[in-house]
Amino acid sequence: MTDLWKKRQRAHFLEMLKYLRYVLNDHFVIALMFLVGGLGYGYSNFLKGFKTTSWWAGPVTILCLVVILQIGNLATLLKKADPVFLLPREHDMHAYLKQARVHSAIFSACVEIVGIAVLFPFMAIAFHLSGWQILGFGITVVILKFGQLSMALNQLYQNQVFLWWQRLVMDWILPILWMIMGIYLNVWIAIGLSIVQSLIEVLRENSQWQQRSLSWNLAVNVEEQRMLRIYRFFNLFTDVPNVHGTVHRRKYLDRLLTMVDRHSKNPYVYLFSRALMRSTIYSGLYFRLTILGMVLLIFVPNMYLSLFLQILFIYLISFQLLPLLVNYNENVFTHLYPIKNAIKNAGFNWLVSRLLVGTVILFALVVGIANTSIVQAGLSFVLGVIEVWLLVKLYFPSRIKKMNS
Amino acid sequence: MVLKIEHLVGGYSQIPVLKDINFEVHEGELVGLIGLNGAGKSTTINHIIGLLTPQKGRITIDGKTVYQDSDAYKKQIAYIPELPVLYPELTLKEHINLTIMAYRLDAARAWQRSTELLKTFRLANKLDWFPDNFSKGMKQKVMIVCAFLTDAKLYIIDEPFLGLDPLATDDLLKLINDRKSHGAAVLMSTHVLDTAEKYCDRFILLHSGKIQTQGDLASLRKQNPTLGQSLTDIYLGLAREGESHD
Repeated sequence: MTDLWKKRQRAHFLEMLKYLRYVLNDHFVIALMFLVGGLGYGYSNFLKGFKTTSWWAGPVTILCLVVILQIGNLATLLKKADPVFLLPREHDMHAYLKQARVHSAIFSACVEIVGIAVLFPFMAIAFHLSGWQILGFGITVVILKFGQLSMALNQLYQNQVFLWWQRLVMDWILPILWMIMGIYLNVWIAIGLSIVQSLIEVLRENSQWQQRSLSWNLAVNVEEQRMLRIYRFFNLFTDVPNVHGTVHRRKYLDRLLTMVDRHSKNPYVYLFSRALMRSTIYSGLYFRLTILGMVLLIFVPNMYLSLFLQILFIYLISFQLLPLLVNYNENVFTHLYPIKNAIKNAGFNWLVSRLLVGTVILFALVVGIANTSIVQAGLSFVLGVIEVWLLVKLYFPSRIKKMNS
Repeated sequence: MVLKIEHLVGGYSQIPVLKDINFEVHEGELVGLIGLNGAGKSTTINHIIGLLTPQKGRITIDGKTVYQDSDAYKKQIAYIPELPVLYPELTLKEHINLTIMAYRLDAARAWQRSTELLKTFRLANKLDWFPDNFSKGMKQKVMIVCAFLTDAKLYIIDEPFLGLDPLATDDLLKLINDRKSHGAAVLMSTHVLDTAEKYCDRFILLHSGKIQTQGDLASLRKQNPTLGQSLTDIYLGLAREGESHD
């Protein structure tokens, strides 16, 4: 069974690597560097002006630590066919799942340590903590995570359903308590108490699983949902098979669709507009990024930073809508229609440029209202429209060529 | 003559699945494409509809290949796949609208035709639903409606009977007959030999990527006098013969 785990883990690793190559493409890396640089610059400015007497430093730190604790899930790498093929080896599955727990814990720990590292300078200034003490908080988080993962493992066995409030207590309330004690009293208390909590979870799981059978379907479902979340993320960058999101009828948008139909007789506009409005993948992506951008623009007073953010968000939206163009490539009929590819591309550009201009208008409105400046709103609008024009005329053709090949 | 395949060699990779396929489908004719799983039926169909590029040989519809005029070639074809292929985000009505737009049909006439088809296949009250959530049989009916509302000259139908209820099967055969009488050519792959025997004008028997034999029932009987009278008997005999040769 440990062989099986190792095989699965290797395959999983290679698969993730394959998709990461698409995520970390040159454009996105540049955008990311700017984003990280900008955020880092803002963070350091914020630290310079920070007063150690601020009352909210404690609560914010504790909240951050507990949010960091929630990073990472139990990755069992179970497959849909497992209940059929591995059913006779059910007893041995526990060894497999224990491996999964260790692996998940290590992976989560790596990400959590990065989170703590980001928090490091703030904690050092706010509470005059030494490096060792902050490391102590890192250890607390890692230990608590192991307990959480044990609880998740325990839950894969039958008759063990943790109610929402039990999870709330174990995942949030108790850790918050330990962190409060750690911050205001001594970090050793937090470490000690988190060891006790996690030990209880580990022992409970260890003593109970033998008497119960594995909930195969639940375990497979949980893992499928987890993988779907990962695939959905990758799907923003490249075409991932089997990720289609869900489709909602959204009758209230029919009026908008009729409007689109009146203005374009392009069959692909007809098709893409419906995909955009009804598939959770594309509509969610567009609205999430547009709203996030608007919220950020409200809080960014600096004109240059705000213009930069705007340009970045328009680019990100356009970039992530691109997979829509090849969304139907697996549908045989899109190859049978007597329509040239150029018409398909033109339809895509027609629709996406209008969507992007919509975002530009919303951004300009927000910028104008937040800064009470018509000039800045106008500037943001003009710049946005130029960007959309450049994207559609220069950037899309090269990307489309790449995607079609 | 509508469809003509000459010396077709092709497949999905460098290793050809189809080895020198030659046949024709004429106007007003229903031709049955018959063969075991993996004989090359779907590969042949994928070549005809232009999804695959022949390694050798050529495929013409009314004398033109897909490379000469892709739009004109594709406009002639209506295709019903073995497994229904639908757009998850489109309602039944929108599937019909999209087909009308894609083939640049006259909307009023096409909708008149669609309404009749929808009534025949008892889908008229489901226009606002997502066909992607229908049962296999009902999805298949949507495919039939979308294919038969076009003015295609050549119908390519891949195993249409599985999952269709008996009434719909009968209606489909009537539809095919109607289009035949209007001069359309139909190529249909199927395993349902009883139905094929009753309705097809000619048969093409594929085995391991080659045409084992072709012709109408009378000529098949004449070529294989020892195997029996029905298409099923002749086909079973030939299939076993082919297997023992391999």
